[in-house]
Amino acid sequence: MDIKPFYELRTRLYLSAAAGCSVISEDFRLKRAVENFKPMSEANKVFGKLYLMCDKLFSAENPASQIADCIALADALAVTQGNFVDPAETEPAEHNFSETVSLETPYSFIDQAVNEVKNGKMSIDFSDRKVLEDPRVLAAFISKSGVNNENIISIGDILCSHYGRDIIPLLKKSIDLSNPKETGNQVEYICRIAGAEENRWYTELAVNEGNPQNVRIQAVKAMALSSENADILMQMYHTQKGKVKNEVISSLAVINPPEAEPVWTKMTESVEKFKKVNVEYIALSENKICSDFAKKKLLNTLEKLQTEEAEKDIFSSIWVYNDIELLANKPDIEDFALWFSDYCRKNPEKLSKIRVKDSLNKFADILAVNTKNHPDNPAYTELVHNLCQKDPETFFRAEFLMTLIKNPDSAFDELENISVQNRIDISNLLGYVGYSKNFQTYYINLFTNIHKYSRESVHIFKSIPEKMLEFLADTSFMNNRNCPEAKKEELCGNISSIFSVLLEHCPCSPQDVERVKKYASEFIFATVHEFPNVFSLSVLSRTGIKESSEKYRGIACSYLKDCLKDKRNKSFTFILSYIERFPMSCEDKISELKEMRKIYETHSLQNRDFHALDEYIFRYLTVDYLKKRKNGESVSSLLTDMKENTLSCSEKLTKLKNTRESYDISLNCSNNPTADKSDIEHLDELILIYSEDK
Amino acid sequence: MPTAEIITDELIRMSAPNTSAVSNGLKISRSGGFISLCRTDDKTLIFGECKGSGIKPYSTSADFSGDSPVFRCSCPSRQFPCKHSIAIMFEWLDGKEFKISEIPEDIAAKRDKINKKAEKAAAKENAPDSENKKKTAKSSKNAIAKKLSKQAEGLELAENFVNDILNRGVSSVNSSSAAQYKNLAKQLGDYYLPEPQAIMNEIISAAEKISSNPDDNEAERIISLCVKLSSTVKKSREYINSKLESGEVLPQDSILYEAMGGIWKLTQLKELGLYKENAEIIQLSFTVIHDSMHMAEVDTGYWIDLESGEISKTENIRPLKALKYVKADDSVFSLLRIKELYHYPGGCNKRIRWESSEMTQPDDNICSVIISKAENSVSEAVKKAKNELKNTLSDTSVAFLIPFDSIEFSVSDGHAVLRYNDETIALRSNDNYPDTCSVLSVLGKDNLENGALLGEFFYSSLERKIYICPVSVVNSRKIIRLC
Repeated sequence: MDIKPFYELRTRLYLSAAAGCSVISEDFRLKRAVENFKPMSEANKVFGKLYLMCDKLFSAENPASQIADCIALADALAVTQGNFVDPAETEPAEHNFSETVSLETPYSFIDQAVNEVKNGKMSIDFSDRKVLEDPRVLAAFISKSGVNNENIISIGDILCSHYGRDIIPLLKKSIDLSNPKETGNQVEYICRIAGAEENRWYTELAVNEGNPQNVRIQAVKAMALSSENADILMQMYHTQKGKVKNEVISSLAVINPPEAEPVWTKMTESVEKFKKVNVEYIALSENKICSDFAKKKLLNTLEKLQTEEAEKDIFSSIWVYNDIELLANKPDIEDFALWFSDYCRKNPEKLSKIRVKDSLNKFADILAVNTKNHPDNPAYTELVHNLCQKDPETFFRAEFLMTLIKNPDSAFDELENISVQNRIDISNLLGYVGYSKNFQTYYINLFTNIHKYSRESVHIFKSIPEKMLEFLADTSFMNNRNCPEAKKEELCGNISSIFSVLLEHCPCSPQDVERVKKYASEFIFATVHEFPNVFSLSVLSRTGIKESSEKYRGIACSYLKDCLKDKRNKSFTFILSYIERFPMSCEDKISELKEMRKIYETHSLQNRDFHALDEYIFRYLTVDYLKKRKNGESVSSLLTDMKENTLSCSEKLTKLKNTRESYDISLNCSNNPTADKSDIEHLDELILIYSEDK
Repeated sequence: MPTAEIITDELIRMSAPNTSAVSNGLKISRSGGFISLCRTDDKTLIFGECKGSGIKPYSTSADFSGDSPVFRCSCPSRQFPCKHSIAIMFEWLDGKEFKISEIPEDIAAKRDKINKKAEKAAAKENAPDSENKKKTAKSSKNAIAKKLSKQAEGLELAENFVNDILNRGVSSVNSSSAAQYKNLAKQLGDYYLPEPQAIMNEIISAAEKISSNPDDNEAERIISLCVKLSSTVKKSREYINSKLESGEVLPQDSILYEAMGGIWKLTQLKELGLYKENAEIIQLSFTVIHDSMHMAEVDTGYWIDLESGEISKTENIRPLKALKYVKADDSVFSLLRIKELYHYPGGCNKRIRWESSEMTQPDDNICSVIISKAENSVSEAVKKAKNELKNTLSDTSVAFLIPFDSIEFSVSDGHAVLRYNDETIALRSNDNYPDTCSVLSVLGKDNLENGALLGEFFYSSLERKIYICPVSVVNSRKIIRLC
């Protein structure tokens, strides 16, 4: 039976109701639908009932009520008529996760994880098995895998490393090739999991010009993993344009086939006319043409530094720093590297305007990263070894970083006898070590700046090796008479800063905290009096390190004196906040503040510094007064001190009243009050004294 | 008698008012917050002293002697149970040492009080109908009859509204007419008809939106709501008239009581015999559905009765305005043994409630038991679903457990298809479960063979087809929740 008239009638009923049935008698379309439905009504009783009800609509007094009944019946009939068979050709899922599906995770927890993936947030621990093995989290990631969001990419990395190859079919399916804005991030995930094994798929995606541009770019990037793609890439070099062509050149640079040499020759025709956009390609290529050009370009830059052009260009200080990138992925630069290091050492006057140390550090990092990116080519490792042997002053950093990347747990095993300069080099590097909660591992950020490595965070160890902490806490250099004071100061600053990062800014693994605190405390108390710095003060005041009160004596004064060396006439009230947080006794704080006051007087500091200092002194005198009153000790000297404090009488009164108010609130409202009734009584006595004075 | 031995991670989570209370309790337990830990010899009571922000430590206890655990704490928290009570359960779960001790006097006194109250209530229950009781019943009947008459008046108001809308057309609702209609809907609040009132409000706001921004699908939804309201009015009027004529005004086993906005009490359900004794149920799925019509979050769980195989649901309705104050439900993985399991009137997926339950770890063969309770065939389930869906007052979807040989994916567009014997049916997400199809697609081949699928059947008027929205997959090894 042709059922179309029924559906036509149902649609018409809806449309009439939506348009309003006050003029339904004139609705000729509905009338026609009812007429067409008539033959059907004879075949079935319920259809017949519907026909009669609809027919009456046109003459009904209250069509609104009638039409609702008609629609209700038509809906019921439509449901009855509803088909369910699906004739589609199907295939089973390609992948299998039967053993890695986590099940008993409550909705409240999973819902939060799913929403974080959907919204690109990452506040919960995605490396928790309950989260990463849950299919709902996986599905949420797959649906968002094409989104350019830092957190989603990090979550993706965690999930991909957990599921491995099993996730590949899902990632492939999630690419929407009909969407011109598709990012193709999935190709990058797959590339990290499968490498060249998926080369055929990358090639198919890359050569199809109908695919979204970003997907093709990612696919071309992945094609760099297989040298057999050289021919296709060369063809694409000649046929493609724009961003796809640029990526083709990058991949050709990585593969370095002989047939691509004309590309490099053309690109490096002239040092003067060399375009910035081509730096990436020269840096990526191991070809001799590129290697020769990189050296030539750097020599040219060194020469140019002596010209007028360098005087005029405000960016001339980073010319060399930028050109260093060109030396990446070049195994045949030993002589040049030694010459360059020597040149930098011997011609400080010629290079006075450039960041020599930064450039050499970057060079060392590039050399170390080369060994990671070319694990099968021993020439890079050999290059680093040779350079370090011949010029340890410059290239020890590269040797150490290479070891840290390859064998992170044993990298610190043999560092006892290194020079102070090398210690400084290592401490500079360790300043970029952080801890990833999600990967539960430490990483080191490398800033080699070449596009393929620019995002590079190299995972190193799971737990900080004891030897690294011993290395950091080693203060033997302090007794080295041959070591210049400036170097000692730099090293103290660097190591304090590393402890500050590990304990405050990028907190280390919870299992390591106590160990790090122990070593930090050892190092800082041993060095802080001689070389105080803001990091050491911060570590001592903010990380919960708690030693006896006397150990903190004199630290703030040492730092103040150090600041005054070259920062005269500036305000140093910020030091007071450190003293406030030091776990010192009240008496010690008062004497430290008084000592600071003496230094202030010697250096004729600003009034506001004096005022702030006096406020702090008065506050601690009050606290000490209350404590001694409670213990029944003598307070006469304290009262004298309070009286002699330079704050005005009304200021003192205000301070006392404020203290009383806060004690009062604490006593009445807090479950754990910081004061008791006797404190309030003693404060009232003080207030009375100062009120009378006023 | 239950003892502290029943404490499980799940029990703690279910007892807690919210997830932060659980994590705070866990923190207290892990940080060694308890000064002393004690238990009675029979393990029905665990108690201890917990460090808090106050000067004195808090006295915290968890009492398992009754039908459901009773938590007590001297802390000032208004959350119930507080983090300290949760923490003491974590201490027990961690296997910490609890010293055997006498029951503290104050708790003993409180236990006595509870027992006496229960005895009094039981005595009252069993007492023969006294004159007073009869009088109360009579006055209560009069009040109900009065309420029914008032509801009948209100239904007239609702009918006028729906007729007016259908006469004028849904796109005719502008801001001034919407204001008038809203006023009308507000009046309906005086007639004890919250459910028709909610439908009215939904119609008004949706119609107001489409008058400025026409949308065919939305217009169809409004018409469906009008039809639902019209049917509710007509059927409710018949229901009320028959009640008033017969004089039997007390609620009966009918979905109309709820359709008018009535809220069932467990005692009413018991009087109507709508309960099952010694039921064993297990949760197959849990999610929170946003109900814009009622401005509420609905914690929705599907459960299977292990004896009858019936699929029922729990609904914990949390109005958005009171979200902070209403305890949210969560997933339950244990098997629940329930002395009296109450169910609401209705056809399929009856709403269920209970007062207390015993949680046990399900047997290893639980999945096979569940699969054995699935429908016999897809077509049989579709037939049942159609019968349910064609009722205007029913939900727009109905859940069944369907057996499958495999769930596969279309070669052309990737949509999932359930195969059982020679039958096939397409799977598609619906508004309640928008992401479940994508979760299904990541499960992998082994999880999608020879099992049963809990799914909501729904009708798509656009494609004129019946689909299943997958909710959970049960295979021989596990229950995989898709939401």
